[in-house]
Amino acid sequence: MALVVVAIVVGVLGAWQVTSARSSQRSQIVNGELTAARLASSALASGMYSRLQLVTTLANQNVADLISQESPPQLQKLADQIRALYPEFSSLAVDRADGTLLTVSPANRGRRGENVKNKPVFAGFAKTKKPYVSPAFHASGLGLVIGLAAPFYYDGTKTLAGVIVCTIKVSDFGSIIGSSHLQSGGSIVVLDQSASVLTGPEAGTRVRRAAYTTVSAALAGHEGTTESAVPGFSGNRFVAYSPVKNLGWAVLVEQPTSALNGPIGALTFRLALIDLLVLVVIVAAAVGLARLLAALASERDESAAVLASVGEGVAIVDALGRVVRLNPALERLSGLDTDSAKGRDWMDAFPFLDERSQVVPWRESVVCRAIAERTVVASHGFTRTLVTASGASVPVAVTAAPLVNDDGQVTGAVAVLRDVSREREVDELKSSLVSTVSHELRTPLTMIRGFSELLLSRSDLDSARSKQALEHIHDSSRRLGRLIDDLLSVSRIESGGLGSELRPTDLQQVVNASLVAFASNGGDRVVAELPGDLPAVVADPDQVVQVLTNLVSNALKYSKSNAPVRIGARVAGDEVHVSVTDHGIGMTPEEAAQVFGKFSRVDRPEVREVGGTGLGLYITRRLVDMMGGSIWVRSKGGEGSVFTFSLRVASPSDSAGDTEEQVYAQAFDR
Amino acid sequence: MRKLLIVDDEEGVRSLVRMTLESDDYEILEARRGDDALRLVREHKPDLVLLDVMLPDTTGIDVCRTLKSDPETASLTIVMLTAKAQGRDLEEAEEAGADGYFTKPFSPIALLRRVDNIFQEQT
Repeated sequence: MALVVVAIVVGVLGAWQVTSARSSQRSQIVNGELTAARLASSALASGMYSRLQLVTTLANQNVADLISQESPPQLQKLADQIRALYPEFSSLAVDRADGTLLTVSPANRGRRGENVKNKPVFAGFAKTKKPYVSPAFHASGLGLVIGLAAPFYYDGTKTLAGVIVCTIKVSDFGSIIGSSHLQSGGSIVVLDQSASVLTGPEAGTRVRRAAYTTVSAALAGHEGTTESAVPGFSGNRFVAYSPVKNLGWAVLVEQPTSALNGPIGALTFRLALIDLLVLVVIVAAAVGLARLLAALASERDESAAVLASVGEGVAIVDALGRVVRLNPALERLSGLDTDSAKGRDWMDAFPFLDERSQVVPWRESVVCRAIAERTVVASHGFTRTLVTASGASVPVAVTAAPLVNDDGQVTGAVAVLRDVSREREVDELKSSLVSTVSHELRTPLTMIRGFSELLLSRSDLDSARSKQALEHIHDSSRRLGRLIDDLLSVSRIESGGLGSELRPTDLQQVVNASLVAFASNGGDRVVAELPGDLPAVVADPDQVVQVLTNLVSNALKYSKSNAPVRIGARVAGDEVHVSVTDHGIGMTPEEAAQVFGKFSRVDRPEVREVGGTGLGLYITRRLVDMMGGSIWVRSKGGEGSVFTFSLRVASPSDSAGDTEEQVYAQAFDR
Repeated sequence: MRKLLIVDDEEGVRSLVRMTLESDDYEILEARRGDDALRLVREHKPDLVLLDVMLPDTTGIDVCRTLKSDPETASLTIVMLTAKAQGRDLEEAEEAGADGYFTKPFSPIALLRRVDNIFQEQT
């Protein structure tokens, strides 16, 4: 856009330069012409009169001879003298004062005595009685001529003796004018008082005054310059016109308007060249500038895009700790936007709490320290909490880096805020895992070590106590084994290492297998009531055993020692729902919602009393997931819980790889 | 005859302590929970309490604090049994006024020796 404006300005300037140069050049040309016209006109006037005067002077010396004799040798002598001076005179004649032709040059011999009173030259002279130059007229044998009448007088008197009439052929007139007055080409056009053209291409013709304003003006005694047509030349010309005093003639000096084209052309060319150079420089500068701007803009766009696309919250803070800018992620995290945060103190816009829920003072904030210490500073662990605009607390990790300019001055800092809710949760989960696992490990270990030490060191233990000690050791080692199994299961489930081998499975068989584990351990409380026509389901039998074992074990653990636990199943659409019902402590809806989470343990004395890792139901859920089923719980505090999981009913296509007989055998193998 | 109260939610631990210390010199009392422990202390006024930190209804630290802040039971010797060996638990035990601690897993022989020492100091 700017480029176009610059180009237009340069163009207009160039045109203006050319126009003004043109007008100044034009006025230079026409002024030169006018000077030439004036010089030519005065030269013409004085030239004509000097001729007349000379002729008069010469005539006065021989008055008597010229008058008295028909064709005296004096006349011939005079004619020779005049011709020597003015070779352009084509004829010479002497008229007497009464208007009769007295004597003539050889060309006019035979016309002696002729009355010339009404001939143009004598008649013209007779009007003024002064030396006279006639307009062009036709003279026989000579063609178009102008005539000069030079009167001469009797010795010492004012009595007119006669008039010497000389003619100049119009065709010879050009040589009288010459072209010395013209500085640079062009030509001079002389017109007589009757508008006959005396010089130039149309010499000898008469023009209509009205057709040429220059001609009519000059013949009326005015001078001036203009651009118009000139007799004998085509088109408009630069014209200067000037009257010839006393003669009543006009001088026109003309040049073609193309005269301007040379210098103006050169000038225009030079200007164009300069303009072109200027334009090239401007364009180059503009292109450079545009590139620079584009680079800056793209850099800015790039950094803006980077800021916008960063998932972490990013804030730019000035050296005084005032907010300059937030990225969209931080706007979302903090509930502030750049407009409302801009210019506010960092701690005001972003209040942080430490692990004791105390507000972190500015001096101790990572942003302040990054600016003061000129180094990257990060908050430790998950100890910081950001209080958002809505008053919510978000655990964050804050890192700040100083912004240093080229001069090495710190101009502010970039702060990166990461929402570490998940990490803090995981951290807390890890702590609880460590605590749970270490407790769950130490307790059986305490007993194994303690009882074995007792057995080794105390020889006084009776056999009943020894057996008791050994039973404790045995139980504890089994407990450790289960804990290790659970941890390994979780690890394998999490890493995807535990897969299901799905095949058509008979649930009755699986339930029977599960109950074996409880034979000596509450098994008498467990009642399995499965419909006889239950279809086979798609499952991994070992995993279903594990699921049932976990559910039944929990049901026994969390209910009174005499309360029954029931295993049931029913067909629901293309699924079989298997449920384990107890009449134990039950759960609130909130507790039930969390019960399938990892390390999730209901935080109640009755649960703590029982002990456990919080892994059992998590593993159970994941196993059911892997078999394509789902698990849910209905529970009421104090009344008991019903855990139900679904498995898909097997169809013939599930037996791919197995023969029909095998499937049949598996499905009905009781 | 000295009275000794063992407070632990694990039957196995209680049984281990009982088997270790049971003799003509000591009478062993047992409690699973914090509230049981407080009741037994008031009823039987034992000479020593072995107190687990993690109890079903409360923490051993709280039980210790309660006993030490009651003038009637403040002079009672309390040894904490803890599965947690971290410094914070020990600090808390000390703050609550515990006279010593034993870390699980523990050696019953070492426990016997320790208990003998405590009672010797008391006499």
